[in-house]
Parts: sequence; structure tokens; C-alpha cells
Amino acid sequence: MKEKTYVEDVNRTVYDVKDLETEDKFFKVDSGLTPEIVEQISKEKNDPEWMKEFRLKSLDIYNEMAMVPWGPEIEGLKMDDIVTYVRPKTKMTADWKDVPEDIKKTFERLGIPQAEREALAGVGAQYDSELVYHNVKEEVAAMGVVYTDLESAMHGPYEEMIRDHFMKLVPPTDHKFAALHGAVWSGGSFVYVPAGVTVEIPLQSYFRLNAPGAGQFEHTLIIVDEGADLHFIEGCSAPKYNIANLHAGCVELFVGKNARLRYSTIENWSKNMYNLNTKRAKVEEGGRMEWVSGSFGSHVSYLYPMTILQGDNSVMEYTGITFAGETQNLDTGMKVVQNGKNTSSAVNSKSISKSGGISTFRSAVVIGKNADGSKSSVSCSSLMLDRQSRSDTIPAIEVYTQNADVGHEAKIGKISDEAVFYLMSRGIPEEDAKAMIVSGFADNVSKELPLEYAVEMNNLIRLEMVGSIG
Amino acid sequence: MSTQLRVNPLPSPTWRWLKLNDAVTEVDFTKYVALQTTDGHLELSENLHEHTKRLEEYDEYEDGLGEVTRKILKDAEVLPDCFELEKAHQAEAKFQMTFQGENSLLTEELDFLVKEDSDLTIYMDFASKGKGQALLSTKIKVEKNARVRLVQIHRIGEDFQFFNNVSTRVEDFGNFELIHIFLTGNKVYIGACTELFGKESNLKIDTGYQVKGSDLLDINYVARHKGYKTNSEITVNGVLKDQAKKTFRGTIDFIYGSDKAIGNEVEDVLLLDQGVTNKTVPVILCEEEDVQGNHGATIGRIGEDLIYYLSSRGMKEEEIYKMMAQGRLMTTIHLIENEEIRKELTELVLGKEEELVP
Amino acid sequence: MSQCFLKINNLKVNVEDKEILHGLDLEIKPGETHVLMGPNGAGKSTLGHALMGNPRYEVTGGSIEFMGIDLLEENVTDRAKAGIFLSFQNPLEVPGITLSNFIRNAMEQRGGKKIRLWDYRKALKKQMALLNMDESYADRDLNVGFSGGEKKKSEILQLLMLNPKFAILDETDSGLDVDAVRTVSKGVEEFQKNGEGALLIITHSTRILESLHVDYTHVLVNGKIVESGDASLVDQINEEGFEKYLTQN
Repeated sequence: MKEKTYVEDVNRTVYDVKDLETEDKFFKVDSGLTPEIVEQISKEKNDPEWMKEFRLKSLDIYNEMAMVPWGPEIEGLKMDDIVTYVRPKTKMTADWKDVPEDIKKTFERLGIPQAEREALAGVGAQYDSELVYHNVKEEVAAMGVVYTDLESAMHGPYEEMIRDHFMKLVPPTDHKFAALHGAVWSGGSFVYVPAGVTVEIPLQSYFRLNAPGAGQFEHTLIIVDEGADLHFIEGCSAPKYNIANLHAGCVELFVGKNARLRYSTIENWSKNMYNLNTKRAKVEEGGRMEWVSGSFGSHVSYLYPMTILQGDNSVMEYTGITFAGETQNLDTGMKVVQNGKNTSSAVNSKSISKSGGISTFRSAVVIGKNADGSKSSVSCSSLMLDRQSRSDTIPAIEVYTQNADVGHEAKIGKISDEAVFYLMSRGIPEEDAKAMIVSGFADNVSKELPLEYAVEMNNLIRLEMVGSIG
Repeated sequence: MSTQLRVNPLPSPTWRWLKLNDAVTEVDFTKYVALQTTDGHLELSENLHEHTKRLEEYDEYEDGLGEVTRKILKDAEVLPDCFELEKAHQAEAKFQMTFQGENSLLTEELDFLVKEDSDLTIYMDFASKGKGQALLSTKIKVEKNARVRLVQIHRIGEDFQFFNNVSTRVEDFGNFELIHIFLTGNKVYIGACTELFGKESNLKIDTGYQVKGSDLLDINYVARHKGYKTNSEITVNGVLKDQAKKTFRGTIDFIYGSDKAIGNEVEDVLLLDQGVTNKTVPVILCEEEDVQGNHGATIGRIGEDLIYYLSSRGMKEEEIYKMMAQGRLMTTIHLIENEEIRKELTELVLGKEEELVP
Repeated sequence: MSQCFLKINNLKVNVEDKEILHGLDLEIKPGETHVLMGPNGAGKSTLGHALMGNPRYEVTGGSIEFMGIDLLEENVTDRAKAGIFLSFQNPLEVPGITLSNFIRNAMEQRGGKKIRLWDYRKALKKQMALLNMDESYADRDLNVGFSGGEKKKSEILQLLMLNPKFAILDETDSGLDVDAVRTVSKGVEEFQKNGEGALLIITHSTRILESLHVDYTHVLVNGKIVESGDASLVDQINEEGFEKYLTQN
């Protein structure tokens, strides 16, 4: 038999520790979706009246809307079986000591408090449907930066700001799961960075979905005011169960004039997760939106961060990697709509498919008719590691102005024999050479991440090259 | 009666709001009328035989224009014209068609069976008179080691909708070369699906278009790589002017078994006016490991470096744009082997060349 | 004093916000051949592009006067029409336009009048023969699929056909084999013979100069001309290299 390079699956033992959720510690609503359940969630969360109405209206939209006719199958997802709300019976705290012991243990295994001490300006940790911990460093808070859970913000001085922005970028009519999100959303973060403030070190939210058969629907709303600067990191994980879990979060980002926001995600949901997340940013004049996205987990993903470059001279950059292994169907990519003059977008995407995994890069670049002088360049490459897998590239480009400069390039293939030969000619054994090439392939993304995340990502793509003899 | 047609389906649908998954258009007609290839001008090499026997396998061929092709041909009860080229022969066929007929949908199927080691070149030149619509489906079987070149020239008139379907199957070592030249046409839908069935079979598509006024061009190319070491090369060069609209869908599909296949797809579009709409969807689908797929698209202005280079030879920017626009069509026209046709098209694009006399 | 041919005064040029030329002076008279030498990164090509008007090269100070006009006021096209020519180090490929049609088009644009096809083809054929270019290249798309040597010959062919008043040859000899350098050099010699045209030859080797008449040689180091001399300076650099100028700075 021919020697076959074997790239090992992402090692996920640390994420797979299951914590038993007993009824005395956790409050759950019934599975499925009815107006009663939505009202119960609303009551449980002490929503303002407008939010309760918003939820019920979203539920109507959800019931009316059809599923998308494209993309991976989601037949395994039975909405009637999904528990939309699971709340640990604990209050959110700003002191790590007050987090219940078992939840604390879960996050400590994932390295959350340690990361906060070392490299973060603030941390939020969500366990199932609710945040259990939220803290922001004093000096950051002193600059006027607000970083809290959306629910408490909704009852405070920022209520109006939230009402003006909440699900305005991603309306419930956007697609079926946006409507679902509007009806049952819970948890997530609200961040406001006042004009001119630069947050030097990143803020981070970590999402952990622990309950089997549950859904997580957190809402992240970030407003970066004029001239301000923020890096926000999002991490996700869940243990693997035999029944489907659903993540239908929503991220809405508002980047003000000349402001900059970098949004990094390392997603490592377990392989029973349906990850139907919606992320969208709107960028004003001279603003800059940067996405860094690593998708490793979930059974099925639909994930396409979208940017609307509304203001003149606004900029978007997207760097992403998707690694689809056994039983995974990851449909990821990006969308950008360039409306302002002289806007520019740059996309660099990588994907790897192995052991029957399916990865799809799907994108849309739209240059509007007033986007005079705009530019866009998209580059995507896909690596096939065996014949059992699949890799598709489905980009769409629409240009409505003459004065534009749009480039697109895509490549699909296997590890280059010539590159392997070149490295071997310098004395590197074949397995090492192949491993080097695969990790080099992912390099442009890990380079964009903060160090500790780069390390995490490299652990995720731990490669083991075994030549079998026979 | 007015009927809505959905044509040129994208093999891998995407977001509906982009309206790229297919093309939707209305056709208004009261009767089907068989399109007579002899309406225009027909020249056939002697060794190209006409047949009444249609290959059953043509029904398996995928239509680039979509399922609707089959339905219309069936409803219209079209009797296909079949041509067969014997083993190890060389032939040429020229069809000049001028579509005409208000209130009718003109339909025709042309079938070509090109046997082993043979070489066939087909020229089709389309024009139209007055209002109307036509659907032409061409089915080609390229047998082992045979070569077929199909050159289709579109100079359709105003108020006319033309649906052009090409379905091809290529067997071992066979070559299919498709040249599409688009000069005019109010609404033209071109769908071409090629099944690279046999090992080391090849597809080469070269397309040059110039869409202007309020014209619309909608293209759907699909290359299905099935055989070992198959090769596809799709090159599209175009210019959009005025309020022209163009959609280009190009799919390279590496199906399990297409080990060592290579597929390349490039589109270069020059946009000349503010009102144009350009849509491009260059898709690669892949379920084989050892393949190479590449696609590239360049849309918009002429690159700054090229403008600088050409300006440094004393050319004004508007002259550079004019020249480059002509160049987009000329790269495709250069590929036409028949000198007479090539010369005629060159003159059409560049103007009449003066006589070379001392 | 009478109107000068080309006068560069205290020229400062930025590339991507970095100053590359720090006040360069140079004067060239009609018919003269100047050679500009210098180590890699000295700013030799920058001077060529600044003279031609490449928008990527930003002139931040100084002046360039060419035959009574302020060159910095003119765009690339008008500079070309005024008689300036730059042979590119990396000529671009232009699909869809044949070499022959391109040159004729450029000549007609510059001259503002039609050129008879017969006369044009005759002249083109003659110059192509001189450059050992196969005639078939005339009907090939400009530079598309040309080898490095063929691209450089295509540049020199354009030089001979357009016959400018002042030509800058930017590293025209780089990357060429011995035979190709000889052919290119023969083309340049033909240009010198032809008439009044002045030349600025940018090079970091001396192979192309062997059979050419040279009036002046300049050494460019770190964005400034550090020494000027006659043709003998070429031989001196040939033997000693640029080391002595580098240590001076």
C-alpha cells in the first residue's frame, strides 16, 4: 500500500468534558417553540414591553419563513426538540470567586480567567443561555468603555441606544434563524466605546453551551464611536452530545466615523452543533472593520460575516480559515456591500477538508452604483487532504459602477508535490515536509490572532503525519 | 401567451437576494415554429451525413440552459436534424441563421455525432429580423480522439430573445473547443454544459463579448470533469458599455473519478460606462483530492500600470480604453481558423483595413 | 543662454512616501548619450519613471525642463508626445492588440495623421530585421507570451519606430543572454545613428555599452549623482565597482 499522509482530527478532549446539569441548579424552558415559551423567556428575563413585543413578532416571522434552498442539509435539526432557554440558577457576577464551582471548573479548563489576567481588558463568560461572569478592567471602565450583558444594559442609561440598534442591522426578516434569534435571544454582550477612545488590549466573550439538546442565542451588540478603536474576541465551545444542539447567535457591529473594530472568533463547537450564526457590521466614513475567523467545530455551519461599507473611504478586511473533518459540513465565507465612494475590501480565506469533511467558501461582493473608485480583492484557497472529502468555492461578484477595481482568485488542490519535493531536497523527511506545508497554509490566519489564540489554533490543527507501511 | 422562463441555473445555488441562481425572463408567443436551418445559408462538407436516427444518449446530456430546454423542445415536438461524421474524417459545416417570426417561438435541435479520430469544425452565425424569440439546442458527441470546434457568432437584432443551448459529451482523448463571440443581441441566454466523460478529454472555451445599449447577455458554462486527467480551460473577455447587463456563471466540477484533472477559468471584464451591471459567479466544486482548480476574475478599469505603459507611448486614456475594448473581442476573434470569417469579424471590430499596396 | 534640451534641477522624488532621489542635477544636450550607473536601490529607475511621469513616483521638489517646457506640468501622454520615451524594465503584456497595430496606432496618435499601411509595414519589417525579430511577431499580441529577450527587443523596436527626441533605457540589458544584448545594442546604435535623439542609458552592468558611443557617465548612489565623467568612467567602474563611492557616504 502506498504511504498515506494522515492528518489527525482536531483534538478536542478539553472541550468534551460534560458537566451534568441537575434541575436544582438549572432552570429550563420546555423544548420546542410556542408563543407561551417565548413569553415565558421574556418574563424570566424581565424584558421591557417593547422587547416582549419584538420577540412575539419575530416568532410570527419565524413561523412564516421558509428554510433557505441552498447550503448544507439541516434535517437533523428538529426545532421541536431544542430547548431554547437554559439558565444556570445563579446571578451574573463580576467576581470570579462567586461563579458556582462546577461552572468555574469548566471555564478554568478552557483557560478563561487566566487569559483575562494576562492579556484581556475585560471578559464575559456565558454558560448556556446566560452570562455568569462579566468583568472589565477598572482603567478601561474609567475611559467610559461599557462592557456588560445586554439585559442589564437594557434597563440602564443605554436602553435607548440599544433600542435604536438592536436587530436593526440584522432584522428578524433577514432569514429564518434571524427570526428565531429575535424570538428567543438571551445573553450576549453590549459594548460601547466612546468617541476617541482606544482600548489597547482586547475584550473577550466566551460562550459555552453545556446543556444537551439546547440552543444558544446570544446577542452581541458593539458600538464603536467616532475615532475609537477596539479589538473584540469571541470564543465558543461545547461538549459533544448525541442529540443536536443549536447555536443561532447574532452579532451587530456599528463602526463609527474613522473608528476601527477588529472582531476575532475562534469557533470550536462540538460536532453535534448546528451553528447558524449571523454577524454583520456597518462602517461609517473612514472606518475600518477587520474580521478574523477560525471555524473548526460544529456539525453544520452557516457563517458569513457581512460588512456594509456605508461611508466613503471605509475599509473591510477579512481573514478566515475553515477546517472541516469527519461528519462536518462547514459553509463559511463573507459578504460585503460597498456603498460609499473609495471603499475597499480585502479577503483572504483558506479551507481544509479531510476525512469526508465538506467545506464551502461562499462569498458575495457587491459594489454599488455610487461606490465610485472602490476596490475589492478576494483570494481563497482550498486544500483537499483526501478523496473522501469535498471542497466547494461559490463566490458571487456584482458590480454596478464603471469606476471600480475588482479582483478575484481562487485555487483548489492538494498539497503541492513540488513543494514537498523542494523541502525534501533540503533534507526534511516527507511527513515533516507535508506537516510544514499544511501549517504554513493556515499561517496567515494564526498570524492575525493574539498570541494565546494563535497557540490555541495551532493546537487545534495539531498535525500528526504517519506513514503506514504495508 | 406570455410565459415565464427560468434558464441558466447555477449548479450550486447561493443567496437568493443576489438573483444569480438563474435568469428569469418572459417570452410572448402563440405558437411553436420549427426553425429551418436552411432559412439562412447552409454549407456542409460532403462527408458530413444527415441522419434521421437520433442517439438516445443525447437525452442524458445535461443542458447548460437548464431543464427548460428539454421541455420546450418536447412541447414544440421538434424533429432534430442529425449529422454524423465518419471515423477518421475531416469536415466543416457553416450555418447562417436569420431568425424571424413574430408571435412564435422558433425551435430547433441540431445533433452532431463525431466519430473516432475525426475532426469537425462548425460555424454558426446568428442574426434576427424584427421581434421574436428562438431556442436552439446543439448536442454533440465527441468520440474517442476526435476534435470538434464549434464557433458561434451572435449578432442578434433588437427586440429579439435568443436561447442558445450547447450540450456536449467528450470521450477518451477527445477535444471540444467552443468559441463564442457576442456582438449584439437584446436578450441572449447562452448555456453550455460539457461532460468530460472519457479519460484525458479536453474542453476549451474562449468567449469574447461586447454588450452595449440596454442589451443583456446571460452566460452559464458548466464543465463536469468525470474522467481521469481531464482538462478544461475557460477564458472569457468582455466589455460592457452604456446600460448593458451581463451575468457570467462558470462552474468547474471535479467529480469523484476525475483524478489528476485540471480546470482553469478566467474572466476579464472592462467596464466603460457608469450605468453597466456586471455579475460574475466563478464556481469550483471539488470531490477529488488530486486535482487543480483555478479561477480568476478581473473586473473594472484598466490597471494603472498598463495605463502608464501605454500612455508612455503617447496614447490618450480614451484611446487606450477604445483599443483595449477592441482587444477584448480580438483575442477571441484571432482564434477563428477560417480566414474569411476571421477577416470579416476583424473588420467589423477594427474597421476596414486599407489595402496593402505600394 | 539659449533654451536647453533637458535640464534636471535639484530633483526630489518620493516612492510610497519615502524619498528616493534627494536633489539630483543633470543636463543633457541634443544627440548626447549619457550613462547612469549605480548599485541596486540607488534610485536609477526612479529617475527614469520620474522623467516619464509615472504617477506612483511623486516629485516633491526641483524641476525638469525639456525643450522649453516644464515637464512636471505634463501628463505621461503629453510627455511622450513631446518626444520622451522610456524603455521599460518589465514591459507589460497587452492581449488583443498586435505589436504591429499597436506601434502604428501609437505613431498615428503622436503624429496626428494617418500613416500609409504599405510604408508602415516596410519600415517595421526593416527594423525587425535589424533586431533579428521574426516577422511573425508583428501579428502577435503585444508582449503576450514573449520571452524576456523578445520583450526587450519589442521595446527597442518601438524606440526605433517612434524615434523620440530623448530616450531612457531602463536596464534594457538585464536578464539577457550575450546574443540578445548584442542585438539590443545594435538597435540602440541604430537609434544613435538615426538622428538627433539623446539617450540616457540606465544600467548596472557595462555589457550593453561595449559597442556604443558614450559621451558622459554618471554614478548615482543613495539618490544623488556622486560623480560624473566621460566614457572612461565606465571602464573604471567595470574594474573597481561602486565600492569607493559607497564608502564615501
